[in-house]
Amino acid sequence: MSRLLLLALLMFPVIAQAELTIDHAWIKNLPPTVPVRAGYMTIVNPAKQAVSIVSFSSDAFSSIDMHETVMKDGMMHMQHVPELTIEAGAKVTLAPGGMHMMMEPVKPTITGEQINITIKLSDGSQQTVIFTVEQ
Amino acid sequence: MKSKSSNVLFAILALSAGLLVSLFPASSWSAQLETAHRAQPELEAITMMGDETAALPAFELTDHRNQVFNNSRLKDKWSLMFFGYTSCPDVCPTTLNNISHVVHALKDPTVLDAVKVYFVSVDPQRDKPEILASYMNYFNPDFTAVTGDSQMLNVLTSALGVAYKIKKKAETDPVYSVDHSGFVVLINPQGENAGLFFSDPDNVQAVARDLVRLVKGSH
Repeated sequence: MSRLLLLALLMFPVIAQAELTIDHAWIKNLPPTVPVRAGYMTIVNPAKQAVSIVSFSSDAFSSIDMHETVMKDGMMHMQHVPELTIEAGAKVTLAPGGMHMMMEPVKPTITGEQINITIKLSDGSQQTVIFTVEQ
Repeated sequence: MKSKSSNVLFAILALSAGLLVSLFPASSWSAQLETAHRAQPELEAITMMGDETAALPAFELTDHRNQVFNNSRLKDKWSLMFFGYTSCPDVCPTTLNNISHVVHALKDPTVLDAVKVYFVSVDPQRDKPEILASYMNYFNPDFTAVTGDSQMLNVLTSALGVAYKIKKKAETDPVYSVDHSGFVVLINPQGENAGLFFSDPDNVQAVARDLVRLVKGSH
């Protein structure tokens, strides 16, 4: 009986849900008078399918959006990125001066503090990442 | 037409860079670079204005200590000036961090004393002196933040070729961003617009070396 169950389990196709590999997830700390923070990380998609980050959520932030700093009319401009697609096997880096998460904290952040942020993906799955607040 | 004029330009370039400078004094970027190289010590990261170096019009702003900030404050020092706003999540903190690293790399007390850093807020509605004070204390207590009314800010930004645009959706919109130039302006000890550079974690040491050359060169 148990052998049959094992066989059934092995034959049943596993529905793979994307799991991104996240490295150096951090938030640039700023004084309490500043109402926004930027979050950065390195994302690798080890899966065989492309996947997109569609949204973020966290108890510590009232809003989190993906932005990219671009040069527009000779000025630095924050461009909203509605969805960030990471191709199969690709690496995307969110780093100062480029792509970043634009976040509004509900209370002042503290250097060294660790904050959970949940990433929602285009396949319906989600994963929680620990971000460290850095000086 | 275009290729013909560039052929002519190429021919002149091949003949003499000095001739190019005299033929196209203001319109050619390469001519400006040429002038800068002739007039200043060889620099790595900072682009000098050369013959375009220009005195600043009279301006009066207020610093984060509520002191008057005008042309006289720029005399006898090399000043680095960056324009932004404190509610800026990415560009301003990144640039101020980089400049802070440049200052740390100067080491020599004589050079350190000769270089001043200014953060000019183009968002005076939100960036009151106390907010600017906490911002400067966070990045580097030796830096000075200044702002003022839009008219005075525009006197300074126009003279320095700095652009900014407040992106408010409505008059009462509390959360808005401001587009602004990303370069750092260099002002010489005569209080003139003398050069600029884009700060980058990769050019911290090069900017510091350039500042040492400029400070030593001006003594």
